[in-house]
Amino acid sequence: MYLTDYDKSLLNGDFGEAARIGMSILTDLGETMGAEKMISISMVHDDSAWYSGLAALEFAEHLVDLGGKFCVPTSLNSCLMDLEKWQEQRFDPELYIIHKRIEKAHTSLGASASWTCAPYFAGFVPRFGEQVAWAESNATNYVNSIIGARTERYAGLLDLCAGLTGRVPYQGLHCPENRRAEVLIKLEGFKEDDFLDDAIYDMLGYVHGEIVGDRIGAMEGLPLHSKIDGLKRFSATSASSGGVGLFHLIGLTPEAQTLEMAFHGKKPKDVVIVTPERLRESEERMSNSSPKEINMVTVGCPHLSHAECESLLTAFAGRTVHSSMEFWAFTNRCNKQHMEKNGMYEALRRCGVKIYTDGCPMSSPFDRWNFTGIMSNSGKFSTYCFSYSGIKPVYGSLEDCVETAVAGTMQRSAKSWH
Amino acid sequence: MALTTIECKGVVKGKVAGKVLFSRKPLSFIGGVDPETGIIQDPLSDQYGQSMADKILVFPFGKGSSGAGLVLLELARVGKAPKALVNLRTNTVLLTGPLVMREFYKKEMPVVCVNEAGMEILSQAGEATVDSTAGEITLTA
Repeated sequence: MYLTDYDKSLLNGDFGEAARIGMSILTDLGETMGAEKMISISMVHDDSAWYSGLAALEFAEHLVDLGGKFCVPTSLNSCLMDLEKWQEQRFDPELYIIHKRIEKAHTSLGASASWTCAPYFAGFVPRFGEQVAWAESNATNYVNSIIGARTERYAGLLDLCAGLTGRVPYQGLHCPENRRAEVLIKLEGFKEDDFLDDAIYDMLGYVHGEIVGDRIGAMEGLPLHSKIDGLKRFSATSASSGGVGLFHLIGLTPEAQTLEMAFHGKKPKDVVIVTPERLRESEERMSNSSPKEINMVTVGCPHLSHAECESLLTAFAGRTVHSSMEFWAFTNRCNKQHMEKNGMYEALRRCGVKIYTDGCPMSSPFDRWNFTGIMSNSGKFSTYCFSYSGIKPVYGSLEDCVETAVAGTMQRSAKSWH
Repeated sequence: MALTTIECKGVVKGKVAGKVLFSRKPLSFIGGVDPETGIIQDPLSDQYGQSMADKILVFPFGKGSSGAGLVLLELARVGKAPKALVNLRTNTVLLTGPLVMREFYKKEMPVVCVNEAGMEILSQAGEATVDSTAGEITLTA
């Protein structure tokens, strides 16, 4: 692999031991993946603060001890808990203390304490074509497919290496030639109105991930006026049901305005037709069809945008969460501040909605907290919740979630694909 | 019994021997694997409930969250990591674990890729030796 003088001096330790470690791991990656060279990246999204044992924390603290500093703007992904309301959420103090260590390590390296899995809703937005290093599956999928910036699917830990060096191997989705779609997915039997409910974007994302696996798919047939929140949900859900880091929605994805652009002028290797019936089948896998009861409703996976919080408030229409229920809504700190200023925060609180920042609903041990039935409007949450908590959640639209919370029993409206 | 040898493409260096844990389905590490025990807890996995600790872990490719590296590094820290990864296709997310653990914990986890025919042979394998440098997997039982 060709290395510049700067790369060599990083490897040589001229910029400190932390940057040397980062560069050593990145060049190993480049060698194993057959990259021809390293390139510069302009932003990092850091997913290494996600607690799944002490190893990642020990690694980050080691880098701090060595004097490591990020050399590009770095946003921090969500962690397990709201760092202010962790007690109300019922997290253990020991875990909170670990999180303060995590926060100290990552902010010492230079990360912004953005604590969100949707940094693109919190002011961290690269330009079209910009080379970045983003970790977190929904974020990488979104930044590649909706914004059209370029990132490989970085994992937690590699993001730290990229931040310390500002360099990554030129491979994978950084290279235009690797961004060509292979599988064409055509929507058939859907009506214009079917796309008014964001829920269909979760279902289509789920099906997309199932069909393509780790290949790159192109979906034809989504309306060009699809809203950004629907596209966010498609990104998150397709990244959880498949190994998806980039998809092309024809006419919506910046680099896939036409089929020709998505397939780089070549023919699809595979064509799959998706009908409403296919969505119905997939929903059976994703959602619990016969829950005993629902006593927890959680929305905001990925974190809610300001527009989604407005929809939530509209759906409540002044009604309140039933006494037998909890309703948790997750968003980023910036949005929470906006909502505090414009009165939405207080209005949602009066409806009985508990608004949390920083954390991720997936990380809550709902079973240990004696919740027995969960409803969520997130395809990503529905995919992962069972393996985290042993509870298979019910998928519902945002409106279903609100109606269920108000009534105190499960309410699900018929969907166009049912 | 004659030894069966499968060709593979070495991705991360190393040579190890152990029992094979074969999954026909792609695997998600975050949420799908318990980082304290190495037990697969993804209900969609065909190896649900099985432990990957000290096994030659064979699965077609990784799916789901990009936190796989965090889980693999933690498994290395607590001594529950698989001995090697064998895939049809590998990716940056999966390689993060082995590459960081080599630098940080000085532990080796070879990664190799095989073709579809190799996967089929491995689906019947009990024990194997993975030699990433030689580009060979030898079935020993």
